[in-house]
Amino acid sequence: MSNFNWLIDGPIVLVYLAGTITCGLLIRRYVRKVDDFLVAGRNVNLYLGIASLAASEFGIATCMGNAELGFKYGLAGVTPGIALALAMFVVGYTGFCIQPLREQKVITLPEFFEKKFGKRVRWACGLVIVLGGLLNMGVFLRQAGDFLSIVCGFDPSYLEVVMTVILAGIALYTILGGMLSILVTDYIQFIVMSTGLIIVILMVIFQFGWTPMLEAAQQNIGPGAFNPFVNPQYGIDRILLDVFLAFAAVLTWQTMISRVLSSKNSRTGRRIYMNTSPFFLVRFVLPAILGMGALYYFGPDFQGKSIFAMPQFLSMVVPVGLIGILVASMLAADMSTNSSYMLAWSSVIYNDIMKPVHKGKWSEKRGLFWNRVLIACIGIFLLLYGLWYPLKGDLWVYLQVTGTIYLSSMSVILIAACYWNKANNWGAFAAIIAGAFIPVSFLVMQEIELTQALTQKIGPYKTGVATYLVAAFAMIAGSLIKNNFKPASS
Amino acid sequence: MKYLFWSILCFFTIGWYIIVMLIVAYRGGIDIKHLLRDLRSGNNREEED
Repeated sequence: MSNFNWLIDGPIVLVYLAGTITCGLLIRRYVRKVDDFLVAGRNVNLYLGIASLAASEFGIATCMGNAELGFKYGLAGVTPGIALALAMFVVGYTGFCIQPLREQKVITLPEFFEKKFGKRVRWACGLVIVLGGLLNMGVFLRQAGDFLSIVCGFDPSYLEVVMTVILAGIALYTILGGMLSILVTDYIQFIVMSTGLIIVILMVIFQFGWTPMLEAAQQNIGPGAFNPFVNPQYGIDRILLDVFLAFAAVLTWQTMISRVLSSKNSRTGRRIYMNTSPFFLVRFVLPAILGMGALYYFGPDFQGKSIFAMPQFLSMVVPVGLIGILVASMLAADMSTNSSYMLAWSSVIYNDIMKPVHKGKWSEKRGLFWNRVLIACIGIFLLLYGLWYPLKGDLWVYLQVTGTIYLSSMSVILIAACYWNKANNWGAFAAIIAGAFIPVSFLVMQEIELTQALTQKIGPYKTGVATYLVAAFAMIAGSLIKNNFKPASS
Repeated sequence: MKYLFWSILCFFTIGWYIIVMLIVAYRGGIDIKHLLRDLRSGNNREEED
């Protein structure tokens, strides 16, 4: 039974929704060019960049996935957050890859790759980025629907309607205002999301006590709750994957990189990264505390999927009034994520995959029109995929595997493009094929009955680590083979 | 104390989040004002290093 009261909490949520969507729509009049639409005219300053990056990288799916880690693995589940925060700080401090990337004034990664590897690599990279990105984002909507139906206590048969309404609202201001609307709404959403999260976290800690929650984790999970190395369900292969994934995501995940590319200059881009790095701890620590709160409250015998433990817990312990703020804050988190992700993938489709069609010669008006059409198409895809794809296993593992489809090859290609003179298009193609083949095969084999046992035996972590290593090897081997052939052919 | 490392990490994270939220709430508003002013005047002031 949920504490959500439609007469008290409902208006809080409605006021937030109406306010954000109105602001997003008002901003659309500032959009004149494709550059304004995709990278906000490259005018983003430090604090707005921090708010936008933080808000877009924290959605309901992230919160539920990371709370599930807290529920199952205790604070050991925070390990990916530690890896991400460190990776972001190191990359921001050194400017590794992101500095040369920003200085080239590109809109997307594939555009940067074209300068080094040619048009075909740009097109292929665009395709891989969109494939990996859309598969990754495909589960967001259902998670949001599940969360809202549990916390607000409405009938799950309304799930599809709720998902459609949320998506339509987000798509509306993203289609009209692009990155500019996203930045302004992200700012509002960052404040609403942060306020709600902080209040709820403090309430949970004060209500149940910090030490009792930790002791409950110790009792139910064992010493592995505080040490990922001794946790039988975690282990070294998973930690290695966390580290690879963290560096690759920080370097190449389009929604993160787009904040660097939208910044005023490369120094501001680096400072956005450095200053946002602790937020990637927040992104894991806060949901993990909620997950551990659920473990304390329900015990290990929770009836139902572990991913629903946190929303169920919140629906029971957060009082009327505060639960409205919580729902508004989670909606804020989800709206900022979905809008940023829709724009990120549509920008890659327009800028890179459609490049052979428009050849950069379309008028600003036509370019804007097609960008808007693409966002609408992505919205429809999300709705269909979110409704029909049944999620198996941990949500965070699904996000890791689908993200690896492009993170592995793109990170290898980016590093080679920036720092290895001998890198060439043969190496880039080899890395793309290796990087996409392994995780896609894993996902397909997971669905086929005959190969399910094999995928369970190998596991997603070893598969993920192997993908990064094989992609790097393919880049080196492909480039060296072409370099060896070159003198003979010339 | 048994859980010292995790307790420090968690409370540092929560404390950082509260402080940054307040700073970003104030300074981010100013950034938006400047961004919209620049776009209105059509003067994209890209400042390269």
